[in-house]
Amino acid sequence: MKKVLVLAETKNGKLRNVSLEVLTVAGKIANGGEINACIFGSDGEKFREELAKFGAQKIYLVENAELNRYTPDGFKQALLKVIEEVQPEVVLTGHTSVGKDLLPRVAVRLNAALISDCIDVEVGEKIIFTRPIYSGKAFQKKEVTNGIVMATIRPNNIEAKENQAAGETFKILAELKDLRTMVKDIVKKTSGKVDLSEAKIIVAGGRGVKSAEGFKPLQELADVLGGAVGASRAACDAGYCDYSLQIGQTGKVVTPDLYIACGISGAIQHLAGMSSSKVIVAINKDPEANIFHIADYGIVGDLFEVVPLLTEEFKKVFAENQVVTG
Amino acid sequence: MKIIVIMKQTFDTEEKIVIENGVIDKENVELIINPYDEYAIEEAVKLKEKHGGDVTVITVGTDEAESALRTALAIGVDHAILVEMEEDAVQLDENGIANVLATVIKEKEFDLILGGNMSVDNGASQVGPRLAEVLNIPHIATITKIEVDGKNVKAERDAEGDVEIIESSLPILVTAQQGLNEPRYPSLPGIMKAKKKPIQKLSMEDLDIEEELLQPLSKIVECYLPKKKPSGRILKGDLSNQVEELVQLLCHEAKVI
Amino acid sequence: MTSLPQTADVVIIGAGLMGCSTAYELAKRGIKNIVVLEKNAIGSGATGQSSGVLRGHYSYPILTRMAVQSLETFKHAKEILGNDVGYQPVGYMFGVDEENIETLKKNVKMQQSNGVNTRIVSKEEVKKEIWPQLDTDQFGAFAFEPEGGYGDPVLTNQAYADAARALGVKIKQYCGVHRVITSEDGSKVVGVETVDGHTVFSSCLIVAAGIGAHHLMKNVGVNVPVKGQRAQLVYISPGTYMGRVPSFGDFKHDQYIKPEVSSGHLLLGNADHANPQYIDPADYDAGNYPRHATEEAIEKAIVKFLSCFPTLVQSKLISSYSAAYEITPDGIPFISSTPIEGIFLCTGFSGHGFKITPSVGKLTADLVLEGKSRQKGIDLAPFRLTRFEENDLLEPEHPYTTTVNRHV
Repeated sequence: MKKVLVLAETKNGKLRNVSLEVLTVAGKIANGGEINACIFGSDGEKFREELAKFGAQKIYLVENAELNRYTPDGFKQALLKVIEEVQPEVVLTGHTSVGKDLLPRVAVRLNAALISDCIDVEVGEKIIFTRPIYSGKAFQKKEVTNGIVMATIRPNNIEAKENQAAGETFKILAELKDLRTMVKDIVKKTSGKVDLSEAKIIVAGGRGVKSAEGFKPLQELADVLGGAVGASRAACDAGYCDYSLQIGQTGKVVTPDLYIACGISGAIQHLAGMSSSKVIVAINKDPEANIFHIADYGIVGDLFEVVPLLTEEFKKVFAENQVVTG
Repeated sequence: MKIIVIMKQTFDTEEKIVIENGVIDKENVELIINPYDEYAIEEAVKLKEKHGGDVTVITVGTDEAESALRTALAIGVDHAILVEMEEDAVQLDENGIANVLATVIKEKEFDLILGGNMSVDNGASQVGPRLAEVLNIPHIATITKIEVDGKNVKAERDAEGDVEIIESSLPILVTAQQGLNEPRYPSLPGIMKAKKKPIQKLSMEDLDIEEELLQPLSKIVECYLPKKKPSGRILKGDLSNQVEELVQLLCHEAKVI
Repeated sequence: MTSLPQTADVVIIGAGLMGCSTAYELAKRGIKNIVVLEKNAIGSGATGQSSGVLRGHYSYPILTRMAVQSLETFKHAKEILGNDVGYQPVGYMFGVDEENIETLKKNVKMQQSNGVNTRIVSKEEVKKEIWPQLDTDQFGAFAFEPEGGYGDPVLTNQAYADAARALGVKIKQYCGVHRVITSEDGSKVVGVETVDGHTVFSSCLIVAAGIGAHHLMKNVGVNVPVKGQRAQLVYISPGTYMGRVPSFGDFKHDQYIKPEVSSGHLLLGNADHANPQYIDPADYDAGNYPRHATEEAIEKAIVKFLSCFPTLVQSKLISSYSAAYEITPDGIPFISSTPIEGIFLCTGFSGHGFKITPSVGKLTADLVLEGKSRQKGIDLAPFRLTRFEENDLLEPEHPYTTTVNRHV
């Protein structure tokens, strides 16, 4: 039985889903103990019901208007104050742009360990967290050996489960001073061209693309997916696209979540630049093409037929999802 | 402007990970500068070129890390410090590393500290903010732009896609995100000159840090490799059905969309 | 995916340049049922690590003739093989020190008489027309071949593979050969057993497995003296636009430079074979050798480069890689029969095979089908396996006084 505190986050006036996931983790760790949540900013009260539904027995509100936007100094002081009040044994939050920014500073103040970016937790005699290392090429299990346990949980990994609790609210007064960074403005993400080395999704073309013109359907697919276009050396050498798009031994090394290889035979030099991609899709006319050996999914066919169909299909699926979650 | 860059040497991102007796095998592995730290080094050199001053790069590691420091020197960093650890010394956790760096930095004058927002090996994103807290200075993480004007600092921070425009002042610590800049390649004459630049080496004894500050607070219980990917699947059937199936697989099985 | 037949007229081990060009030549001459077994992917061995320089400059007349014959295929690849092979006729320049001027002249004469489009060019002409940034003063003399340059070894390999497939050749990738099977008395080849336990029966086997030939043949009692040698290659950007510059064999500094037309980068390769770094065949097989050049090798390359191009102070290091070539004791390949009936070797290209690939395919097909060369002026004898025990090695006609002879 543990006493656990979860820092819940909001974004665009809504509770973040990751906070509900973290509450679910908190339930597992509490193991019959106490699940506390805290939420910062002037409209924290609004989220009482939702937090309670996912297991928060007590909810601590720190309502200072300075906390409507995240700053390391403001949130640090608020969280330290809540921790002082609640005296939790475990502090959890999402591995988000707030969580991973804030908790290291709080950990220093509490002389505590912090286990970051956890994707799983086992609760027995000890609390053992699992986290990916080397960009997911390996995993480690880690435990805190000394002091308060702090961890950040990777979003979209653990399913949030409803677990209705009382959700009694408590207001905490925090005196916030010396906020040394100021958020002047927040500019919403605009969709623009995605840089190849940053792209989560890459649509790459090879010799099979046949011309500069041939890259158009690839770009359209990339645009729909919010990804970037890349190319094999053969395509660059043939002058179909700019050398800056080259992926491979003498070009860029990329590790996107999804790599769609179109008309790429899969020369070993190209694989050196992309084989660590999480999921590889190969589209090639030649069923013997080497790329199929490393692909997770393959379609044997003409890329000029397959790619436009794929673009349409994604558009369709995205449009349907909009309706459901809208 | 006095700039400090905190840097880590990591496995080349192309390296295969091998686990032997429960630990990651470091034998015969090729090492590089942590890619996020490369952005930090580039930005430091750019800021120096614009505002004058000097750049010192600090790393904690074994003598193998010397090559990473030489690369930084070749790019345009002025001074390099290696806090040397024995291969078999107690592994420091993020807390220990932050305290070691703070001990070195406290002895120095500085206006700005730059680092990567995470290391591609451990991926914890802790050392930067921890160091700022130990030094009692503000920090801005995952920046994609920074301007310094006198004591004033204006930065753009990548907050999961949104851009936060943040103002603060020196001294400050910032961590670099992809997109901050395009790191330059070292020039050939720069590489040759860097060979001759001195590297300051400090041992843990030299630093004389309280034992307590280095004590790991967490411990690795186990390391393991992910399950082998099942071999790939060539889809069958009518082309439009294949495409439909592929989209479903990517959305629901592979979950990459 | 290609399924593996139980029998084949010819089995070739290795789908690199040599295996594929040989398969293509055999198929063109009407041989059916050819199976190429490749333990990894097409071009994944030494082929994929070749810098792709094309030149006719050899000090051995026979290799010169092979390069001349081969150039025709590189020039007309589209018509002959049906696909582009990345041929870039940027020219090939060869530079030597004072001591080797006379040798260079003799070699150029020999090359001209064998059909190479080459000539001696003056330092002034190099400075003015070919490579203005090069400090020509430290060189003794230069030769220039306008049709030399480079090609893309991987594209060439794929073009041969595609052309061979179109003629019915089966190329099975990710299908390593575990062992060669011989008749009970060990005198004849019977077939091969793959790593995953299949047997392909054949009375004709061509081993084009690079360094892999060593252990495959050792297991049937034949010593093939090939080993791995590490080559370290450095990519740089000259930091300035240089226009069209040639591939350059700098045999004053024992370095070669290959331009990349697409990126403007230069590849620097070491040609100093005074202290070769050998690789254990076991590591070679596992791909367990470093992927990048060592700091020491990079520094050496930089010093040599900056000495040649002292004004290119903006030049930058882009990347480096490390390759492993299979080499023979004399640097001359094996295109040879073996003591075992039906087994032929096509390996040991010692880092200079790319430029003679088309010729090697023809020659190997001659060897297998007729037991003798049908190629004019290209005898098979210098490439036989027994040349070492017979102490009858190929000698260059006009050797240079550097360490490069075995490769030039």
